[in-house]
Amino acid sequence: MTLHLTRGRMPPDEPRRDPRLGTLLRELVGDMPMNDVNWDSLASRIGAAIRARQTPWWSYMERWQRRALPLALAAGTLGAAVLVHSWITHPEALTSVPDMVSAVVAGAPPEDAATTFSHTITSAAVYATDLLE
Amino acid sequence: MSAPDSPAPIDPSPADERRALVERDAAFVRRAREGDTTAFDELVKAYMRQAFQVAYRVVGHREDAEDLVQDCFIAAYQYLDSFDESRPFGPWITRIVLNRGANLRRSRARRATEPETDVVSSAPSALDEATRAEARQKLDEVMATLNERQRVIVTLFDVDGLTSAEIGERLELAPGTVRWHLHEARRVLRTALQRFFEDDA
Repeated sequence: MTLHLTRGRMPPDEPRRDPRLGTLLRELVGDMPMNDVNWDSLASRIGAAIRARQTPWWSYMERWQRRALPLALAAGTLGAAVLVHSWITHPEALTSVPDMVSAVVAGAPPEDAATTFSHTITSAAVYATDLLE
Repeated sequence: MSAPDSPAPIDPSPADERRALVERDAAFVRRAREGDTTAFDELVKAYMRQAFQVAYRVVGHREDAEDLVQDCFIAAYQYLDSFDESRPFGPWITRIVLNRGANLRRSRARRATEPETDVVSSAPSALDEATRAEARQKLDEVMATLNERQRVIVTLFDVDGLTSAEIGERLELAPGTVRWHLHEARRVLRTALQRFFEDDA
């Protein structure tokens, strides 16, 4: 869309055209080749170039993939080592939760199960504090 | 009793047109920022001709101008967050074209020295062909001494026939400022070409 502020009228203070200068300039720079341009094609090219440069959401995953995989592997190995270490040094801290569930299912009173559970949590907290110290 | 006359249609003022344009562009820009590329397509369709006009006058070659326009719209899309929604999109893209075009012009030798289109001169001139060629060469040299803005303004005015208001709208300059640049550019060109014009007269 083009604004035509003058609405077809030449403002009174508009400079006159200079035909001599205009002719020489036209010979130098040529006429505007507006009819030679395929506007639809140009618009399509621009649109396609912009879409090609857009970043799809999965590209972020791809970008982090190389760094994230070794990190995850390292974290997993460290976690396994800590688990094995704790199993050896503090076996009471690792009373398994499935045992408690089995006890409740087998008919143990809920109070006993809760006591066991709280004991497990306390042991785990003590163990974690030991690790930090 | 006759029906009351229907009110005459009110011709929107330039200020109203500008406001409507700004609002339309701002809506497209907001949608484009949210990832709607079709909204940006609308801006491309609306302003690519205007951008091409300036691009062609800066680089002087159709294919280069098309590439420049494409490059500038891509840059505009990338930096869309920096666009001021209270202003129309046209002058913003034109400014990008002018800046990038000037860089391109400086860094690349002009591919063609001859204009692509056949030139049909309508102005009477008594200059013979040899003198005309000499005048063109002189004009080329002097045009190169003008700054980018003055070169574009004098070409858009004296070759493409745009008014100072239309040029101002494209370059986001007041018409008076356009006329001042035009005056300065013409003064330099006329001084350099005085000998040829005297011969012509």
